[in-house]
Amino acid sequence: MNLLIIVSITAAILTLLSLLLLTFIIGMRVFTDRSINHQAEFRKRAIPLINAYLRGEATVEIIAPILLKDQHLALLILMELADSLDERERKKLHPLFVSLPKFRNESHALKSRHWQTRLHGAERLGYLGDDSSLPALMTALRDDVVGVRFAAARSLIHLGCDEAVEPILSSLDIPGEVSQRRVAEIISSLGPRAIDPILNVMNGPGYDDASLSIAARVAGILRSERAVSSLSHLLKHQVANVRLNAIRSLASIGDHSVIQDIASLGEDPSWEVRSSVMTALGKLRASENIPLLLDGLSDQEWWVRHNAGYALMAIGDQGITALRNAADHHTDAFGRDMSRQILQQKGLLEPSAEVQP
Amino acid sequence: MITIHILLWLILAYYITLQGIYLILVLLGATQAKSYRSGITFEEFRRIGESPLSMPVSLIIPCYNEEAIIVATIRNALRLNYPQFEVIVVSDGSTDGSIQVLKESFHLRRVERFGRRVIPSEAILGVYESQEQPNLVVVEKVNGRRADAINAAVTLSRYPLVCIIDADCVLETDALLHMARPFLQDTSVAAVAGIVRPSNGLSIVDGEILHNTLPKTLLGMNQEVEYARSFQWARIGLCRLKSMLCISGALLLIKKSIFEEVGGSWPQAITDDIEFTMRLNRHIHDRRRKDHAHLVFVPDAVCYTEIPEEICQYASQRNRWQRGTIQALFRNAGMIFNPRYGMTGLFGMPFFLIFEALAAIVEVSAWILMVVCLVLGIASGFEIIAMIYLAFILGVFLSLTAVLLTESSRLRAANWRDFWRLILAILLDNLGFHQFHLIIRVIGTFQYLIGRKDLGAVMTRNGNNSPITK
Repeated sequence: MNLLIIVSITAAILTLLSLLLLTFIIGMRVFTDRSINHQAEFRKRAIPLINAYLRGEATVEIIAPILLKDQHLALLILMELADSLDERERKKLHPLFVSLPKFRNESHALKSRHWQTRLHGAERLGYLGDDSSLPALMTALRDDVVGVRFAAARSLIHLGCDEAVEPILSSLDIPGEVSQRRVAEIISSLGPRAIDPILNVMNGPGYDDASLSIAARVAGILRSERAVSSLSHLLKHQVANVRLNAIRSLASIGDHSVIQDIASLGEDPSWEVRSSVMTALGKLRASENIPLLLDGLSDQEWWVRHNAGYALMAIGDQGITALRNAADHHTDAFGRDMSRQILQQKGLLEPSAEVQP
Repeated sequence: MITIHILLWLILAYYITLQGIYLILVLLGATQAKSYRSGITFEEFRRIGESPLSMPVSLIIPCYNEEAIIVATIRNALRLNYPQFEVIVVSDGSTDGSIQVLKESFHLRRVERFGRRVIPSEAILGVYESQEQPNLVVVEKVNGRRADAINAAVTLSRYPLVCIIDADCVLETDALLHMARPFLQDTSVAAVAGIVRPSNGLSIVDGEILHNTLPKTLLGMNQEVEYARSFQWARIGLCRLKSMLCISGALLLIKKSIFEEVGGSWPQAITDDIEFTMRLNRHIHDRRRKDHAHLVFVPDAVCYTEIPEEICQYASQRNRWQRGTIQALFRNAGMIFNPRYGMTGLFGMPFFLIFEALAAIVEVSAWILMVVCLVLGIASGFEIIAMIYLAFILGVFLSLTAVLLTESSRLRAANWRDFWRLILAILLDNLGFHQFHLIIRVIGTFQYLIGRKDLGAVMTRNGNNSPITK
């Protein structure tokens, strides 16, 4: 076909499409501007009313008709407010949540084929739901998509369901430090009610390494003294990550009776464990273990040396004196360097004028 | 005559393919961005921001003679909303008063730091810490280019994630939260890239972005359109196709362990970010990693960078980018059309070679050919005008698509005046600016081939164009 004809037809079609596209963009822009104004107006009207309701100065009957005008935005505002309130105040919001008919059957969203719908359904049930929502959320803990499982776990904890701790641990036993941190954070938001279930996990048979790691971490976040003996037991676990989390938690709890058990891991084959031992001894101000920390200053791994130095600093005068001596007389050059670095960072030593290679 | 006609057909096919691929990439980018947004749960970023368990980040700012803006950049960085991070500023042999300004502004005192010496770098002359800001470290070193400065900073960094930005960059307050999210969700994420936009129209007070308008000059506006089209939406699409071969040096968050495994940045690179991203892709495949390491593009982590609004600086920058692209392609040529590298080798690298590195040469050849046809009477004036118009309207259509997507995001033009200026810039883009850009790139190509490897004229900043000093 003639080149000119093809070029002309293509150019004409593209010109038409460009004009249509520009018109569409202008229309969309007008619509977006209106939507932004509407949202601002709605917030300005709804938030003072909800606050008045929380103070007992307004009833659901007064507020509900206003919230019904934009249920999606109303839900978002209620969720934002709920997150800023304590548990008692949050419960007061529940009648407002259930006054939104669009979200009354949110449990059905958990059966959707689209993972995003299931994700937001699981999340919303933490605010909209009650005891009747728990079975659906428990089922969502077995969802194929990890994000949905996390959202369901968060909602179960949000609804105060302590029976969910063990199912959460078994459904989210994903390997990897970061994932385990996230699960530990979710479970620990249950507060002291999480302690019994995690003790069951730490003491009971048949739990995998990831569950034990998370349980150990939760015990540390909640600083549960009841967990000390279980955590001490986990110090001997064969998996490094379990030992690591047990050490961290024992250090957070601050029970001095376990210092020697922790110190016994000072030569652990895993550098992460050795590093945690150093930090834990510093936190526990274990002055009797200064020789171990001085050995740590010459560890082959930088992080162990670094944490050993900071641990000596944390111990106080005795540790600082030991660190000063190490800066001049440590047999290992790395140990001397690290001691100097930490003393300088704390303003206790002037730097030398040498250029670092 | 037949040969010339065949050439004309080939060039037309090349141009339509190029714009067609870009259109597909932009649309793919849009679906990715939509999917990303719908996967974010309520208050997710607030949770990351409040969690003491979020992965800490070392934010690295390499600088060379940036005394006019570096203090403001650091103040912006220190305001970031993130639970635990340190800021490491590396003065890479600056000959101006950068170090003195920093010492006075942040009350620095000299310390010794002994990092893990995994990647070699030029000698460090001094490490300073702030008495006011415990998370600020300033490093003074012998000049060794930007890549070397980054390597030195990574060596001295403490945290498992390393974020690299430029000295003129302004990050949105929540940018690190958005960038860190993929690492929390998926342990196999190796690096995360974010959106880079021109900062020339921003107004910033005390490190906080107050207003976001567009650049004032036409050159700035043209680059605004280009950034939206190529660096924003098309790059998300390329990431979806595992072909993101350039993560801008203005915003990269990477696992420190991966950065070290790759061997750090290459100090001899003309554009170290392009070269590093290609090598990172090669590393991910070469090692046949079992962890399925991959790169992620986050469409709502935004970094603003100063773009040149003077023609000389613009020409120098684009010349360097072109030479850097060719150098990176030569250095990683083994990946091109190599099935071992999957989509990266079979699509990304060839695309980068054919439609990025060689695009300018093909397009300039087309212009010359059209003149030849006109002179020899092979094509009529009407035919030539029709072809030029087709090229123009293809570019306009593609840019409008990018504007549509930008308008549907929170990055939309702040007011109607800016919107119409943007549309005007799109229309004017193909009437001189684009052709000028092509000539710079062709010159860059030939300069590289005859051995030019320097970084070109340094973009001097006196703080007048930069919003962060206002």
